[in-house]
Amino acid sequence: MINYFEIFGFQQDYFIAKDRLEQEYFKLQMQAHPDRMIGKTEAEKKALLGTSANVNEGYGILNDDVRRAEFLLELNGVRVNHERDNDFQPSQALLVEQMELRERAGEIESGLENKAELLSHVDAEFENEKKEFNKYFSKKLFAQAAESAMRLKYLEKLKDELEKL
Amino acid sequence: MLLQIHEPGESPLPHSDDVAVGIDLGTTNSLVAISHDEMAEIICGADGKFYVESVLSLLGDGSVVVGDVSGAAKKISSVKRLMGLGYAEAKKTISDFGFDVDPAKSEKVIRIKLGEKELTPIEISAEILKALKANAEAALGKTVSKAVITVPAYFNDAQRQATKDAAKIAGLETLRLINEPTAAALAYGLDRGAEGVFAIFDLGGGTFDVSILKMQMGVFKVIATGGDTALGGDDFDLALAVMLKQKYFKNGSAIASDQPPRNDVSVIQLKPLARKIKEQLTFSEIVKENFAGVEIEVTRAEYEAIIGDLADKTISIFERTIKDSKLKKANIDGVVLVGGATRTPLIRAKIESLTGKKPLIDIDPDKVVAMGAAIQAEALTKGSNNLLLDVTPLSLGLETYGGLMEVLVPRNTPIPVSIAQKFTTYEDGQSGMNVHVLQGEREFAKDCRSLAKFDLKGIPPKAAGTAIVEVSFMLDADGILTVSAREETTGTEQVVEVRPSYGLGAEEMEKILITSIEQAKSDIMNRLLAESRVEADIAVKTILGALKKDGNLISNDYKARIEAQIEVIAEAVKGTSRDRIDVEVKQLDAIGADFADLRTSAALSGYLSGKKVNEV
Repeated sequence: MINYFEIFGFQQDYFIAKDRLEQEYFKLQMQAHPDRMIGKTEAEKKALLGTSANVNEGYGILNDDVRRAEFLLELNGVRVNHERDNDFQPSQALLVEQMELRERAGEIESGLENKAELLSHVDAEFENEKKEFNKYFSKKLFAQAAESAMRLKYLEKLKDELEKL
Repeated sequence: MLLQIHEPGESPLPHSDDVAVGIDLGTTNSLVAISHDEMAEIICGADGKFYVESVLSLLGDGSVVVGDVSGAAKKISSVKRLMGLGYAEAKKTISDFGFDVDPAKSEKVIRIKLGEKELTPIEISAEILKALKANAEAALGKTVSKAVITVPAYFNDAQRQATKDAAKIAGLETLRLINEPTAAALAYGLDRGAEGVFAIFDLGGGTFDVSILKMQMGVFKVIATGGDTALGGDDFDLALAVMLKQKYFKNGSAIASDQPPRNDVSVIQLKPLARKIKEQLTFSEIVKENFAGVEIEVTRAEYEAIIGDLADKTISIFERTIKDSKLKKANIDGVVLVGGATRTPLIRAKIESLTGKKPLIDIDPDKVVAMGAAIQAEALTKGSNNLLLDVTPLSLGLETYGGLMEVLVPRNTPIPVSIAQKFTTYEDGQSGMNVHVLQGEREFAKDCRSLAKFDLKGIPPKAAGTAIVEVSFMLDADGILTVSAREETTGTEQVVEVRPSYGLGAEEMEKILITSIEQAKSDIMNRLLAESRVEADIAVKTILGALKKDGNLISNDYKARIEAQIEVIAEAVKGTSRDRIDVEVKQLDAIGADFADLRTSAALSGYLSGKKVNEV
């Protein structure tokens, strides 16, 4: 497993300075991108094609609040939010909460719910949950951190769907 | 000019005599440019024009030339709209091609009839590229075999592959395909030293793209891109042409009872007039023109009413792209306009209304894409301190059970990108698997663009579910897909057979390439033959003129020998051997050498005695 934190030069912390991350990303692509491969042979270029793709993958993970949380857990041997073979399942409380939020989303069309208000609520919960994740993860409370990562993912998905309406 | 700073240990730039150009292969017009020290210059043709019309004209003598030749028997234009499409798909957006297409043969690639030939959009684009290549070679005095070619950002895999195929046929190595808005951003950014977040709004003849980029520290990073490959200035022309037809009939019937309006006037025939009026309406509120004796008047308000929907379409795509970027409108520092159709006042007004900013128009919207391509061509051959980081515009995925589209690579993912997906067998002993790859944003596979079907062969025969094949889908820096596969339990590389859904198959491509190379050779031979014939003609005319004036200086026998050789040349010129003609012309020179000497002496003595030779 590639440790993208190492490649980009960051500590394995949840909160990350995104400006600095972007600068590191640019620096890395300046070295790895195929367009910077003048003077290299076809074989060398082909070998490096993977590296540029890896840098893109790494940036995508570290820059995304949900994927970064999942990645940190995976570096510590905890698998969560995958299609199968997860180490933890969402709690009953989490599932109930998400169902209720979706019901509320369903009532926007009929006018019983206000889209802007609901979106604002989901946003606020998301921001809050990030802090929760950081709290648990930094204390190495992986079970709670896993639940937190799952909640982040559900909230993000809901946010995307609400924005499409 | 930026200083080239080398990192310690980095190899120095190679000596590069390779001259690489940038090409904007547009729907309506195409351009070629070259860059030195990040300053790009458009290369003009022998006629002094900075562009070549993306048109193939069939002349009266059966020859085919690139360009819009007035009075040509037949013309094929806007083939960019047909790249990477089959007949069914093309018909969805184009009701009348304006030229003959063979529907029966056009399932995977459109086949167009021009005179005796049948051509695909790829071959027609190749002719346009050849013409640009020739212009560049004439201007630079060097062979040009490498180019960066631009494509609409929203072009899918098949459309990109078709563009590369066209380049290959034209004898050009595609160093990189770059997206038109990104090319424009590069040219604009370097020209203005601009940094920040910019939207590039590119409305060309046939395609529309909008890209949002961050430009910083020499890096041009695309954040999000959107577009429509079937929306452009051509559609404005068509809408106006429809209105012109109505006005023509209305005005025509009102005017004369002895000369009724012609019934055969078609919308297609009115397109050139529509384009002319459209351009004038950019500067005037009202335009009056005459068509077939009927006066037609169009106001800007009327024009804006009929293009309103098309303009709104571009704005809603712009809004969606801003949303995809996850930025707010206020974060956008400027909007750069690219493409001739952005001259339309209505478009500019709507952009200003959406973003709250006056669009930036200080760089020529017709030239900026070619200039950016040239700068990138220089960067890829001589090195540069800039970097273009682009994204894939369309989601890439696979067809799954129930005919659904499962996304593997979401749109706006930075490229290059590599995604691996594991597959397993569902039957005991199954040795092959097929995979249907799609591009698009819809839920169902049938509504997405079929890219290709991949057959995986050579899976070791095992119990169902135990063989695991990992398939890697890789989008390269051109945005084109390649697939590789590996069987996990044995570690063997799998044979992946690609069957692209659209475009020229490998066999047909081979044939065309061979024909193209032979054609190029025969074109050269034809030209050399023509030159020899012309030289022979001049030699014969010269000596006949000399015989007329000074024939009396020589004996009849000598005269007969010269005339006999003239006959021999006449025979040789009728043939196709250039060498033979050259030999016989040399022979004529040899035979006539003494005569030439006599003429010179006579002229000299005539001069000395005050008389001119032709007075004798």
